[in-house]
Amino acid sequence: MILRQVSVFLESQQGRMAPVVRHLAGAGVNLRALMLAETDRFGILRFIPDDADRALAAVAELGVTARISEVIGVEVPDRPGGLADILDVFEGTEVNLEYLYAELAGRADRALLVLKLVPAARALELLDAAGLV
Amino acid sequence: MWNEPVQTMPREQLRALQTERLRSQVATLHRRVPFYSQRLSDAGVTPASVTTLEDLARLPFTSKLDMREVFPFGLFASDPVDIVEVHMSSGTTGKPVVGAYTRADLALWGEVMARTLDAGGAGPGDIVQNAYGYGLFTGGVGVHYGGTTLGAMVLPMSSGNSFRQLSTLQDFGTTVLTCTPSYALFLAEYASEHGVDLPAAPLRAGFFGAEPWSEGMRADIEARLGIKAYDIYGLTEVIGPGVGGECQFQDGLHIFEDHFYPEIIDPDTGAVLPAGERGELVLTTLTRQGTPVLRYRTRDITYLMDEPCPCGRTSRRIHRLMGRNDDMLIIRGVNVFPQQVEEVLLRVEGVEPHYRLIVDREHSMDSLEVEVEMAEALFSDEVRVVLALERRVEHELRVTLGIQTTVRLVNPKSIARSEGKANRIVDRRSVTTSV
Repeated sequence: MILRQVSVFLESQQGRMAPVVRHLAGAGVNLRALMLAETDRFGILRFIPDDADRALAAVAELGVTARISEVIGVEVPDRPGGLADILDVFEGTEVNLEYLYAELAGRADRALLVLKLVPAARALELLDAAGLV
Repeated sequence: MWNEPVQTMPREQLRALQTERLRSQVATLHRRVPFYSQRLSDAGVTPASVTTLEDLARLPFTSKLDMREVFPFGLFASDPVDIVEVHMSSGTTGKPVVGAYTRADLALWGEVMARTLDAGGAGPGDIVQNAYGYGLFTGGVGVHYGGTTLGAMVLPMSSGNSFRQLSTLQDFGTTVLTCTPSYALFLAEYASEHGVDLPAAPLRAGFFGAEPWSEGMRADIEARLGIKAYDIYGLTEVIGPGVGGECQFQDGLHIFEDHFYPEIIDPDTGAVLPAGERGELVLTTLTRQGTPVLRYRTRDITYLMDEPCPCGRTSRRIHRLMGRNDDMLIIRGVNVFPQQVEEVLLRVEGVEPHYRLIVDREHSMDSLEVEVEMAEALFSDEVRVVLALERRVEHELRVTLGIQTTVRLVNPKSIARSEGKANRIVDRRSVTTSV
């Protein structure tokens, strides 16, 4: 499935993330999945909110740079090799995995994985052909 | 004392010499440099009307911008066939300032730099390790000419390569070090990391300039290298290093005013200020042939000291530099203007031309960090895209400024929009002398 992800640019100074998360909470935005990517100079906070447009509007109020982009969500069975099966689909293809992260609240027998795959259209085709989306 | 008759010439005799040279220099500029004949006639000055040093106050100023606008040959007062060497310094916005030297100019340069080194007690028998950069920059070559004129043994090291600097210093028993003050401290740190006891080495004097430094830094350098550290002054627009330097009393820099006439002006009104009053240093070359300048506004803030110096030199001194009245930064000896940064940013897609410069001195080395606002449209969820943008800006800045910077992207509109330029610069080096 296609998920709408919000990415937020965080400057390198300490304490940049807390106000963002607090403000999202204040706007009633729930986060299903989240990941912080960091370098020594800046960070990018990525998350899948229940409502991306509302999340983006909330973040914009803080004056920080943010954008919505589309990523692919795949449900993985909760067993050894669940993730490997998905990655095997792209083995030997031109599809590249840029990053991935997982849902925050686990479910009984499966977990939602968030994948940034490039090119996305080809990745979806392959997942579809493998019966994974 | 090197060339003692000239350096101890009675003031009245010196003034007569300066007057005669000024008249001749103005006549030459009027005759040979269209830029100056225009400027002089705009000011309503004929060369014949310049008869005393006081007449200098009626003559037009020259700015760095003027010099840039006539790049590259517009200020040549000699036939290009007589020019044997050229140097350049960075200009505000791309175009550099050109200094051209005839054979006589090179001899003059050697003479005034020899005086500079001699004033700090260097002479024949000394081994001078010259770690100023060689090339278009005037530092390396200028000190080199001074050292050879003086009869010292010059090691033309150029800047950088600390391992080699240190081993050469030990192998040759270097007695005199010439480099930027920050590099001297860097070398001291490097030496102690490598177990080399510099104070125990034969090194006994250093001549430091090309960037601002303080009395505190002098004390630090003197203690850590076990030397006497002398402040020297010069600029490409006038000749390069050799405009002035400290004597053994280290109380102000003697200006070699039989060649470079100093004035202090009120930077706002242009009025000439008396000795002891703080203002902008203005220099007029009296004997240059290649690219003489009339009343060059250095933007350096200091004051003239006209009390006799116990060393016996009769030249007036300037207090060591107290700051600048423009926003030029001197970083690792390189002139950096904020406008250059702005130009680069305007050229790079994905960033806004809003920036803040943070200058610091880490491990005695100047560093420049540039905070740049990221354009909203260029933000990506992928780290490598944002990193690539930072690297592209760093590369462009390096090409334009000639120094490595660290670019830090910040959120749009997060840098304060101010009317003043000062707010765009944070200088944490704290090297300005308090008076």
